[in-house]
Amino acid sequence: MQRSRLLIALLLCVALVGLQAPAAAFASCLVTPAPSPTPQPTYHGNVLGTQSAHLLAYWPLAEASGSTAADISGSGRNGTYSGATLNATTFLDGNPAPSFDGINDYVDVYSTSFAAAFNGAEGSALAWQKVSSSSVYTDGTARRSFSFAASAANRVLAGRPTTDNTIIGFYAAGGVNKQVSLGSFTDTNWVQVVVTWSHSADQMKFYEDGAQVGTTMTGLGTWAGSLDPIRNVIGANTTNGDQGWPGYIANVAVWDTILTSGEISALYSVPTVVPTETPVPTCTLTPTNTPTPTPTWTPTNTPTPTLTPTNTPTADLYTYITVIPPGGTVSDSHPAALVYQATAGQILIALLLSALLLLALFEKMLRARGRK
Amino acid sequence: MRKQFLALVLALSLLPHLVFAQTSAAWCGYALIQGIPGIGSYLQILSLIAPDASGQADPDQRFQSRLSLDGNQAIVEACWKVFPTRSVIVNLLALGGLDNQIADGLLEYSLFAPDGSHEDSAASVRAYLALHRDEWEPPCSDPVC
Repeated sequence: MQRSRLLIALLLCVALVGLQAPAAAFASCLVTPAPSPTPQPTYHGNVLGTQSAHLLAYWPLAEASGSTAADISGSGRNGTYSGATLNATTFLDGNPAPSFDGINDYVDVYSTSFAAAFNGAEGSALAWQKVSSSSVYTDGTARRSFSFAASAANRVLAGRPTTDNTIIGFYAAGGVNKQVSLGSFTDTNWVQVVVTWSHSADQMKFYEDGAQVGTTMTGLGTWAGSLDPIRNVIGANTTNGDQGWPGYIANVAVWDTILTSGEISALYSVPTVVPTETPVPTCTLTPTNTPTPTPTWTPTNTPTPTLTPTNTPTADLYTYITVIPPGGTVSDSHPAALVYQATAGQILIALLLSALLLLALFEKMLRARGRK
Repeated sequence: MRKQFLALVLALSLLPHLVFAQTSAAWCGYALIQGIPGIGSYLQILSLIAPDASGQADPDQRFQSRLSLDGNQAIVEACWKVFPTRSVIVNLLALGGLDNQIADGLLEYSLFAPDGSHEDSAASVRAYLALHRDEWEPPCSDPVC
């Protein structure tokens, strides 16, 4: 009876450990890597490849967790999330995108590095924005999807004004305000907005979904001041969260030169992410020895049929169970093997269960001695 | 003996899940704090009852605040570890340096959709802000706004 109980316990241990093991780990043996897939264009790559020498910062906002909004331009001008809900939806390329509550959520992108690089006289700012509902366009509140500002008199932003069903691109320099509006706007899908400004060419333009909106504004003022630490945010007007954007924002980028209409149109096109294939393990049986052919016997006088060796190679398979520690790998020189890759937790559980089993056996032995 | 052994085996199998279980919040939502001039300088103490970055809480769970234009009102938000009742807030503000009697005497405090979800609370705040835009949003007049 005791023996059967112990046997049942042992079977339970094996079953519990086995249930937790990844199914693929029991599948096979040597992994034959699949050919590397052809690199597919990505939206991130397209942005990074546009006027790359003038790209000051690029925040995809594609994080699934954490508080840092990475700048993937290579300049390290990371932002900090405040209150945004990460991975709330997906952008057009399938990457995560955050939502903003329009109350106090924003991404603070100010840094001394960004402030030093930002050019209030020449530049472009791009963002993708989406409202949480059509009512955002009719709530009578001015809202910002992004704002980069030295002061209220020197700033560039995109968003909506208090006028219903309208989005805007806005540029102010030296207190001279230039605004381009797009009315009758009710789009609740992802919308690309771009503001370009050039003091040297005396022009400010606003683009929506890859095409210029309205007319080119001229008579620009002269930018004054460095970026204000509280006025450089995505999703609101300042770090107080005022004029917040209730909805989603993704792929915000800033250049210190004006993008051409062709470049902006190209950045309106979003490639869909193609899932990369993972290598499928294949079993390879490796013969470990080759049989030697049987010698033929040929009589000297009479031709006789010669014995032809079959010479059929037989694979001498080495099969064993190898427990690979966490982080270990299976060498390609291993012959066919069953490999179980255990996590640290699974090894710990296995050791604990083994210890319990040994204790139970020991207890049984003691009891048996006690009866004697 | 057998039952004890099986119970121990079951407990050990659940151990990893227990170890990594997330601590649930008492309530996620927004609150309105009024009546205390310069409330902004006392707000940070409220983060004591909210998850922080060291606990790997996501940004939308951590303590946030927003001040009115005059700085005398605040909207606070978090996935609160302790339900933010008025007495809890009064006690915390006292801990943060505000005289307890003053806090208790002056504080006007309300919760946005306390029985609802985080999004219900947010919707309630947005509706409130729309009605009190002049107190909370910078002045703005089209066509330039």
